[in-house]
Amino acid sequence: MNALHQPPFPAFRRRPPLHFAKWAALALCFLLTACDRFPKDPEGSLEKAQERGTLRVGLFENPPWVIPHEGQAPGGLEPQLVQGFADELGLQVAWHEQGAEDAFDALEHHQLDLVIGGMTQKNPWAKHVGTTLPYLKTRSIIATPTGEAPAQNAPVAVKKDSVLAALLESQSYTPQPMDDLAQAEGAVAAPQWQAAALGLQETGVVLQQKKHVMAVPRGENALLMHLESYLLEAGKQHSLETQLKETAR
Amino acid sequence: MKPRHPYRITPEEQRKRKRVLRLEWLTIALVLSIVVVMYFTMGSSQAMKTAWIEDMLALVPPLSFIIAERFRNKAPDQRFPYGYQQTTLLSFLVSAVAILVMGLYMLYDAASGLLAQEHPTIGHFDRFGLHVWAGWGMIGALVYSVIPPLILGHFKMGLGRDLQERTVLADATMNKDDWQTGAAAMLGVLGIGAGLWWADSAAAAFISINVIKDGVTHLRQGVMNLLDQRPTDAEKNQPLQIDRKLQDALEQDEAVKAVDVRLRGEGPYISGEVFVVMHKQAVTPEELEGLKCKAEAVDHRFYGLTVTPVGQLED
Repeated sequence: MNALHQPPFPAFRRRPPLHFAKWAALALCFLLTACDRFPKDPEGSLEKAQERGTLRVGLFENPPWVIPHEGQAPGGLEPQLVQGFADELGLQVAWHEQGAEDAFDALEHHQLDLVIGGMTQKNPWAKHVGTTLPYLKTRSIIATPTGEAPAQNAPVAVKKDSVLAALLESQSYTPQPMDDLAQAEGAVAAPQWQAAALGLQETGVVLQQKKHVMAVPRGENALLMHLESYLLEAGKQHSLETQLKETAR
Repeated sequence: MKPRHPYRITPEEQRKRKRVLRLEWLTIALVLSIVVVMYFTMGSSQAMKTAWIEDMLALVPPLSFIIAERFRNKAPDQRFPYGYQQTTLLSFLVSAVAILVMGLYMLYDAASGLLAQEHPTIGHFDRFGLHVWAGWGMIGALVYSVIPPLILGHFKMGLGRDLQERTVLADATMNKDDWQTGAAAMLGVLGIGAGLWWADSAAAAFISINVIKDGVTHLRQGVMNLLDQRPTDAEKNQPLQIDRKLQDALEQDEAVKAVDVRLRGEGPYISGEVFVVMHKQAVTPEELEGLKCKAEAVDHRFYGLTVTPVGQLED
């Protein structure tokens, strides 16, 4: 036999690559079915919601994220997302508007399945509840009509009594507190979506970054995984920022 | 003062010590890489956090060995006439205390997690464009964290045995036992996935008990070493029959009537006094020096023996 025709690694000939592929496929099948069942809720939040047919959602006002309406479904970006999530699971939503502390208390004791209120990853209740991965990252920025950054110590309009005034001072700008930013001429410090709604251009000066999350009961990982999957998908399909901008208008 | 002569290290020992040193540096590099991988996958799992701290503790013995190695080869001087060989034992004791304290803290952390009924929240793994359950990422990291220590531990074990280096043996044992930590943490993570919230804290408690066990074993060993224990085998801590061998060798000498010894382990070396009763009354310095050479020829680990002529062996 010609030496050239001999495989370089005889060991591989005895175990054809197909054998390995078969095992890999089996392992993958196992993993995929396992993924379907994994992870479970220790307290069964998702299963119970499906048995009940309703998703119990606590909310508190924080426009444009959450805008409660007396006696009817709330408006804002987050109720829209939650409604979409409930629709996907075939659930009704029971909305409960209440104070933030009460909402988190109820969530911690499994009386609610979900709490929304425009929270970020840094919210002080995060130790007592579980939070989703950030479904949206926003920034507060300085914007001007031309997009040109203001000079140091220049006046920058900012919503009255906002944390942004302090952040402006720390970056050596002069905050000009205003009741209505639409009245401002020149530079404005505001969240991106608000600046865009005002028709202003970003200057590249960033004052603050926020990672927005929703809250679920601690350790209810099946519910969390389903919600996160929905949020990731929703973020891919629509521009959440455009929605925010429209809500702000 | 008259300092001891430096230990005459054999080329074989020299070569093996260099290999150990290289392995310890390699351990540090690999453990650091494990610590980074674990950190990025850790999430809110208590078992992962505990395994992560345990992995960081795996840096302590190699570091203490490397630091001690810098000092131990210094020749004895006026200030430390017995030399610096014991630095390895000292660093061994210090690292044992560090491991024990961390183990106790980890157990406290795990137990309070169990009491508070902490339900670990684990959602999506969201890095490198991957979106899977973060628990799978943790298990992947744990698999990686187990393999290098297992291999390194195997090699260090052999060298530690040859060199009778307790620090190296302790480090190798910790490395070889690391798979238990990895397996426990994996069970903890899988338990979370199966909806058993307590599996996480329980795995963390198991890991911390393992760490405490390591700490206690090393602390006992470290104290015994510094208390000038009789020469023992570094791995099993069984008495070596080397005193008997030394006595037999010297009793062969025609000028010697009776011999007894008082030996102590000094790290891998053995030091101490040899008491001899000679047949004749007057002993010359040359004869004593000859006996000392004979004694030290029995085993290369004998270092700085002194030979004292006495009238009788019993007090």
